[in-house]
Amino acid sequence: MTRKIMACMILLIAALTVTACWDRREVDKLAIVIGLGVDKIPGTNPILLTVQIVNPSTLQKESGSGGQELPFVVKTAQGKTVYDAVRNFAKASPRSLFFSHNSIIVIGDHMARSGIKDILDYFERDSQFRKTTWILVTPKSANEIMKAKLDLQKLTAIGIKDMINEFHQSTASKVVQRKDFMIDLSGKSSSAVASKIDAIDEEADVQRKLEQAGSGNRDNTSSDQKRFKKKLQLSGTAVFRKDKLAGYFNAAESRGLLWILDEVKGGAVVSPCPNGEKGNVVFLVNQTKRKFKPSFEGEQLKMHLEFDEESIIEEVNCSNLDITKPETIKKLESVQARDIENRILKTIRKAQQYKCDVFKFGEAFYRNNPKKWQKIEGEWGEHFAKMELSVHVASHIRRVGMTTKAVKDW
Amino acid sequence: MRRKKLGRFFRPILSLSIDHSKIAESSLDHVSTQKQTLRSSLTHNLNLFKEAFQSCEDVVFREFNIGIKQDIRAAIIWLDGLVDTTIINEDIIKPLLQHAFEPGDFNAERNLIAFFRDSKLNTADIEEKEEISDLIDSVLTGDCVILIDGYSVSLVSSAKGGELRSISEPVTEAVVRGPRQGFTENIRTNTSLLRRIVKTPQLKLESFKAGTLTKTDLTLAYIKGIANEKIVEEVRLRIRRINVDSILESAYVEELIEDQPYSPFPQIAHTERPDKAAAELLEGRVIILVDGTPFVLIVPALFIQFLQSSEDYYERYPMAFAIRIIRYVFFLMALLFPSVYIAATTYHQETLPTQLLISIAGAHEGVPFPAFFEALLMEITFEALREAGVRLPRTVGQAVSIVGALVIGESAVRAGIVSPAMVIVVAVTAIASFAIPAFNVAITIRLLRFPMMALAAVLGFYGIMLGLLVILIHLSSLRSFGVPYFAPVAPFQRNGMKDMIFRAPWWKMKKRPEMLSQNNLERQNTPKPKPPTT
Repeated sequence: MTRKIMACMILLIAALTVTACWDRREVDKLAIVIGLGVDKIPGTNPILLTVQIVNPSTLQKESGSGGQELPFVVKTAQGKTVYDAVRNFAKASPRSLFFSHNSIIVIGDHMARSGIKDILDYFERDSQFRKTTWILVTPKSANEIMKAKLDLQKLTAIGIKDMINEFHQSTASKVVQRKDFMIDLSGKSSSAVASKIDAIDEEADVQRKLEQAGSGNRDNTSSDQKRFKKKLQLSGTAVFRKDKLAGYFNAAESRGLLWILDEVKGGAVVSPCPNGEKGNVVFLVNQTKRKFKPSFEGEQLKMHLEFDEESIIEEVNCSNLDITKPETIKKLESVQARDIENRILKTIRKAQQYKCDVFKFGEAFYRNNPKKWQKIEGEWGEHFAKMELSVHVASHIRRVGMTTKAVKDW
Repeated sequence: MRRKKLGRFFRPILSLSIDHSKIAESSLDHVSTQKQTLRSSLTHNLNLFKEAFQSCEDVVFREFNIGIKQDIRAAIIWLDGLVDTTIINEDIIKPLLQHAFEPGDFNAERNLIAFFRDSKLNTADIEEKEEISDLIDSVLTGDCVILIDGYSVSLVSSAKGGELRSISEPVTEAVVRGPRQGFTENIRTNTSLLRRIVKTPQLKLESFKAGTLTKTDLTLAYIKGIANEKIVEEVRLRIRRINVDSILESAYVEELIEDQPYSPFPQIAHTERPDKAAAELLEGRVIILVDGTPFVLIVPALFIQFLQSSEDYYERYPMAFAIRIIRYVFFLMALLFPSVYIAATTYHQETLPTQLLISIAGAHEGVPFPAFFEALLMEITFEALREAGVRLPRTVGQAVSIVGALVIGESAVRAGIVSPAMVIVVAVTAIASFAIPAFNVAITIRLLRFPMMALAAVLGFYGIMLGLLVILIHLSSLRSFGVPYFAPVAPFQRNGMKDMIFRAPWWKMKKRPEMLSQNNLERQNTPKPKPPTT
């Protein structure tokens, strides 16, 4: 008996110690990837990976010369596939790449247009990649985005992630996580959207405009410093047909998209003054309700969209607008509703051009009549493009703010 | 085959120890070998004592004459320092010397002794004894022995006195609110402290003696009608089974009567607070008081008891609840924090928030050791520091804490031997282990932390779960005097839950905890307090 117990103990101790913790990774042996970019390049190794790796020693203490050094390093590798490229990193890196904290995947324009199913498989298969990684598409190269620098967040990729999280508020882009992107791609409409990120030289633009206004001072910074003057901007949405990039929505169209997807909460609507005056009224959208009413009318598909929206007045820049009167409120409501209707229609028209049903209308038609859906499923893109549309928005203004009179009237 | 070898190896040692005990018995223990009684000759009797107390300078033999003619020799024997000399002078020697009587007045042998016992001596506790070994024991426990020539019986009078520590505030269990008195080293004082709180004849005190050389008094205290008779009987049985030469502290008794000697968890609680002891008695537990130590034993002990403090009941219940939550959280922290840190930083980096991982990685940059070794180094240093601090005199102790703060804190980090994050982990763990009210469980947890760290270093979170499972299974299978150690959690008892993490207000706890005893469960029937109805 004791012999048996002894044997068990020896086996247990051996199992715990001799195997030598094979998957143990100390933190200081990891290259923590926080951002990943994929580009397509010509040649035998078509995949170009660009990763942002944290350089922890620069973040250790604020004192000393730590401020000068960038807190991350950008590395590139090429390969036949994504994993091949990842393997090729090891050739030139003392640490192994660790993707679990990767928060964004940026896809270059060329890569996106040529189809991304091939690169998505690795992200789905490997356990290190989070399903909550944000998918971004850039009209430039992903490499350029990865190399950019942000002002208030030293780690660019994390800065982009923070920007995305903030974007639920300002809604000029539809942001998508990898899991939702995959669901969209495999859905009935087989179209997907992803946020668009761009690097623009805003500084130059601002300088030019200020000079035009007569108050600019000349920019004397060297071209080397200008490299970092490029500003990352999340604006617009990339539209995918199947796994190929079809085109982009601009900021206004993206907002229309969010209206149709019922994700507009907290967004602002800027409408012109109801009395034809030059000026704007700005509403903050508090609550929206949306209804799809699809119908098959013979060969023709019809889609009616019903919106019910509640908002508050944030800004009034029109004179002689007495918002204490219910009639004025009614007028404002209808102005706002027209505005939203137009925006929604514009967005759908654009999507119809791309033949990309990113609004999941397909799902609605399928639910409405699964049998008829089966007949049109094959050429859904064509049917979608020819669809008849009508939109109705009912607006309700709930509050007018702290003052009743516009400052213009004071 | 191996067993045989082991046997061969151990047998000599074993037999040696048996021989040793036999020697001890024959030469040191009067009770078993000599069964001598007194004779009528005083000189003979005195010689017996003088032989027994050879080279015992503190034994006093006072010889004198009594009777009207001063012709009867008598002697008193006592141990200096254990007796109150005023009692000897005023209440024993004085009446003996001052009384004049004719030798003819008492013819019968016992009568002079009986006369003194019944009508003369002023002491409260007096009895007749004739066996030498009994008398020697009496002298050694602080009684005085009165021998009179011509009588083969002696009077033994209690004259206990001498220097004792006075009742003072318990050091290890200080409270903000609550009684300030603690048990002392004297068992009589201690029983009186209990009696002062629980004023019922149902509080039974049973005396035992243990330790062949120390002859330590043990007192078993329980409340008849509340305590479970079976448990009381079991305690009696186990105390009687004790066969040891000395008992210097209640810890000796604890180790000799516990259920599972190989478990790291204490199965008997102890306290030096009479109010706590009384509370345990009233819940149906049994108290074992041991002479010579202020720590009394509480059986049976439950695991949750070690995470409770008497102050939980002296503060209002919402505070008690909040404090207990902190205690439970920190109990887990003391056990798991370093191992979770090790597991998370060496296996499960994806579980940490990105920014935290980056700062940990930054802090770990340049540290030469793996996280496990680093943690081990720091934890052992801390334990050594604590150990050094406990024993040192207060004046030197300060130096230790300064050096410790420098070694563990500043310098180790500056030198790049450990990361600052690890210093925080060790510091928080240290605080957590001090937040456990019972010192003996705190030690257990500190001990278990090391295997948990090793498991975390080898198997990550999976290893931690395995370790926790082993601990949990062990806890649920433990028994303390037949009572499940992990009650009221396993087995689940609804009534017991009222005083687990949540301490119910007093007016809600109508019954005593059922897991200890089913007798007389009704504790109170106070209605819920409310404002006046008018």
